[in-house]
Amino acid sequence: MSTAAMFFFGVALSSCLPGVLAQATGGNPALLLGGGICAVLPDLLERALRHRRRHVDITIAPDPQSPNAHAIATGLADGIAVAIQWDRPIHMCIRPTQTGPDTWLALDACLMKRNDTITVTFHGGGTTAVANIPSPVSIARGTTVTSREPHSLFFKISPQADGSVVVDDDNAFAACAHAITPAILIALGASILFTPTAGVIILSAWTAHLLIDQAGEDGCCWMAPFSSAAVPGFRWLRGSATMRDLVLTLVSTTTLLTRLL
Amino acid sequence: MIGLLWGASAIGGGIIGAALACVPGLHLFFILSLGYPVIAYVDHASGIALLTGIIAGYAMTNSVSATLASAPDESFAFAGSAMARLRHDGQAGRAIFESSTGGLLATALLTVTLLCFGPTLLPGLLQTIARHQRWLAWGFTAFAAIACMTKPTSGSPHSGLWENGRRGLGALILFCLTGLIGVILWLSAPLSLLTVGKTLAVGLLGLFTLPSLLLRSPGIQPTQNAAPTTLRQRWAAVISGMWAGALCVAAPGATAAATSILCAHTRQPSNPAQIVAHGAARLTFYGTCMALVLLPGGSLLFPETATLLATPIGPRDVTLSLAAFAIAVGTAFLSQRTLLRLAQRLYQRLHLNTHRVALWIVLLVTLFCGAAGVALLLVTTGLGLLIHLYAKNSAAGMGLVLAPLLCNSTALGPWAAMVMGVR
Repeated sequence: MSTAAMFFFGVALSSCLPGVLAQATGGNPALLLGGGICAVLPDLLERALRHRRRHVDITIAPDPQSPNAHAIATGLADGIAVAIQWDRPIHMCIRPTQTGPDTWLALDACLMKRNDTITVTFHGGGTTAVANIPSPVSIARGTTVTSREPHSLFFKISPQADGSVVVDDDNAFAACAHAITPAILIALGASILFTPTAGVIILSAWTAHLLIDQAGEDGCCWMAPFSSAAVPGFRWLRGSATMRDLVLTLVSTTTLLTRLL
Repeated sequence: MIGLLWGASAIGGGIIGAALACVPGLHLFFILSLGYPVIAYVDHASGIALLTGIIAGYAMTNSVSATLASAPDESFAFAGSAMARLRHDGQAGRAIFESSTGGLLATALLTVTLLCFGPTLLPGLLQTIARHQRWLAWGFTAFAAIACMTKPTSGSPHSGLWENGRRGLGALILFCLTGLIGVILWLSAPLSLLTVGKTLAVGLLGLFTLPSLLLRSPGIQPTQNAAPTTLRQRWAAVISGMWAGALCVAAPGATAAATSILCAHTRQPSNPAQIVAHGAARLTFYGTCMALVLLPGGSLLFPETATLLATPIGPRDVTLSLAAFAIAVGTAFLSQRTLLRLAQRLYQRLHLNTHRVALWIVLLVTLFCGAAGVALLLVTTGLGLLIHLYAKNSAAGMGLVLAPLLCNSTALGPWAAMVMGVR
């Protein structure tokens, strides 16, 4: 969801809490606007954490005109070969790919320990490609990563002494932004420092953001940092990003207008 | 009484506004300053029709100078990437058409809605907005500050300001600096709409127009897909643009730049539908805010503007103004093709390049605001270049209009005036 849509949704949500709107009209809009800011905060934090300075050894940039799942899977397999050759951990990245005016390529990349294969599946179309990792390397610990538009996907591939590799999802730290844990912690802190209403607003705005993402295509890592497993989006909210933004914005505006009038 | 003069004023205003909008750097506030003296010689209704026509004509065709001469005003501040892409691909005409189509569709929807519900709902709505204007101003400022630190929805994620935390902080500092300039301008300028309007126009030219011109064709990313806009996307763009425009009525002093920033944060920056949304937002903003209610909400920024025409605004004025707006938009749309051809010929004959357009803008500012205006233009252009080159986010320039709005809506204004000893 876009920044504006989320911001207004957060403002509309916090205006529903008793006393908040009256307080804003009386000259103290901190609680009301706090809801808007907290609704945007997960995306801002994720961007900050994902785009922090980091070293990337190999970048895979899918072709926006005709993205090829097999090329991505092969690229990941090549990365494993390079890690073995260099005999040091390497960082890989799959760049986000804009496939249309409002659409981004959404994919799952699954590096499986069970059969030492790499499976790349595109969402929507269901295109799947499988690549074998270079023999005789094996995967000691695999991972499955789901892309979140329009962010890069990061992997860390660490060669082991026994000739196997450990593949780590390098997005887990950033995924904390879309988890319930920081929301609870910040809400608790705000309740103690300010008022319980502030805590309720922070928790409700943050959770609403996560629920919207969960109902869409993005999904969330609810329990990060304790577990980096992402719950894939339910895809109840279909259609282009523009339409989803528009619907959310209209709902927020209507709610706010109803409260104001 | 609606008569020949009223109709001629609406049509004439539309044509004059549309023609003058093709001149690079001729901001709406400059054009209005030429139009205000004329209204003293016509009746009240015709005066409203003339001003409304000028505003509508300007809003419909200012995409011509923004696209062909790379001199966008603040209402196109966040559509630069999409327009530059189309111009780069030799589709400048399409960019202008997309913008005016968005404007036309928005005007049609707006006219139907406001003619049906306007006289009943508008007075109550304006009262509600006035009651909540303080926190709305805070809300706009908070959103703009967030927007400073992050790129609109999804350009290239690797060019985001959060890629480097210092850039986000830099953008925030630049936002505060432009805000400081805005507060100084508001506090030091005499309380006359024309003076403040023209001074504000100079600031906006320096922050948005000149940097875009001097750093022309930025942000063209060939990997991004510029697919043709479908009818569904166009309607979605029109509705989201209308939402952005209508929302900005709550803070009219924020100028059309606020509509642009909201559009940019609800749509893909590189998408041609972005231009449709901008067109719709601009027309909705000018239509509802400036033309229909003649800036009563703008009293936060310019306290005397509510009495601009000395006569209270009633339901009849709203209907007349709306009718004049629709007529002027239609006239401007019909004359756009001819104006585009004339502008193209004129630009070719004058061999307009970056330096000549920049010099022309300086000359215009000298004519309208004198040496002080040029000095202000230099300062704001410097800041604008810093914003474009360093922060890479035009939202940092929004401080110029948001800070005075915020000051006037809270106790900060008198306090700042006392601290600065200006007034």
